[in-house]
Amino acid sequence: MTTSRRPASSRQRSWYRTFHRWVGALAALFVLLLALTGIALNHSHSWRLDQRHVDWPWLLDLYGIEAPAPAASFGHGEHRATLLGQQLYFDGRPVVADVAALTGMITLDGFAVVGSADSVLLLTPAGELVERVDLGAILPGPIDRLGVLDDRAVLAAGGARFFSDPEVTRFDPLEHDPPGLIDWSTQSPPPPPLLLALSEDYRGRGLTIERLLTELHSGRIVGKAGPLLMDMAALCLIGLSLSGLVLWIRRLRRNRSR
Amino acid sequence: MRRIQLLLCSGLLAAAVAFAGNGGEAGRYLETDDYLRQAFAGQVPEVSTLWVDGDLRDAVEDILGHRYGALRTRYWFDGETSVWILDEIGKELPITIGVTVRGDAIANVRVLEFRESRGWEVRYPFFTEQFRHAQLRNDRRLDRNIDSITGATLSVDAVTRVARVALLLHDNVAAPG
Repeated sequence: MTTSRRPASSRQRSWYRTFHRWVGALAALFVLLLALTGIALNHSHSWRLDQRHVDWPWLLDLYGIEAPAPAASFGHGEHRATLLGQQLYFDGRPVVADVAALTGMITLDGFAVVGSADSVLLLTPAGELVERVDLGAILPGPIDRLGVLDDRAVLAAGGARFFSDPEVTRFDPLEHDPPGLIDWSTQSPPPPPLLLALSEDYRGRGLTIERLLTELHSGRIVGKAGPLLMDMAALCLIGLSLSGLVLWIRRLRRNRSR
Repeated sequence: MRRIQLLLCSGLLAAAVAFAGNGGEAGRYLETDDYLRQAFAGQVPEVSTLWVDGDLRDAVEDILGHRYGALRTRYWFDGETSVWILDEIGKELPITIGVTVRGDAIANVRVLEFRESRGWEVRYPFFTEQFRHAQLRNDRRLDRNIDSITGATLSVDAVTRVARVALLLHDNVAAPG
């Protein structure tokens, strides 16, 4: 006569299998999302996901990402510098993303000179950044305005005026009144078509792929319930791991007893 | 005995974590003028500019692994020693780094300004002293291994890249003819 201890353990095994199957099916989609977004976030820096942007209008609307009104805009000759937020645009081209203020723009022979609060940015006529010249150490105050005289840049700051060399490598104090008139740059609104293009570009830089993946990974993209759903998916994953381990150990024991 | 040792180490570690302060935070640590005065013993030469274009630009971008942000960079050179003040992004914000090159080796590396909330450990001499006397190999890598800092990998990489670029640029301005 064979004493059977199988029925109880078979029932248990069947329970674990059922649990494993149904929890797996329920959690599959969420676990896939967690895993795929997790892998991408692990390599976010090397894949430059923090520097690449999503520019789908419907998604930007969902995030409420809007372009601000221009903080300042200066035209000189054929060129224009415009500041949206802290993004500087030269003509239609984004140049630098951390400009605190725009105080003027002039064009010289071979350079465009853009004034910020305590620095000037030299650009090529095509809008490439030549150099950012930090003047904080020599200026008595923030740059008030920027002008041109005899094809050299002149700036006014804290009641004093400074005159550049021809290559705009340095600014020296202007001790006396210059013999000619300084052509100071003045603000003017950008043309509407240009403003529309700049606004669309600005919006398109508001959401990085990294941020989107982070919000998918955490579930926050669907609001307050999202993180809870992801927590449940994570708990399902824990349950799957444990039930899988139990099933495996039981199988090992069963094989040994045979 | 082994359990006691383990408990002791755990306790020490917990105490270190509990009592550890913020240490060095982000900020401006040294002004450019002060760094120049230290590098040139007070006799600071006139500033010069170097156009980073053509093959030089390709080499710089090869080291940095990204586009170099400007067409021109300024430097100070007295015939033997050059100083370069360069910005390089760690994770998201630029780190301002001063590099002094003498002969064909690094004399000094200083972090002048750190803007992020993590990784500022690179400002300390225990890290920057590793670069003293470092030279550039033919493959544009340093002739030594630079030990990283846990939790500051991106900052460490940024400072290392800048050191390599400074050596390359120094070679360019110090080359005869």
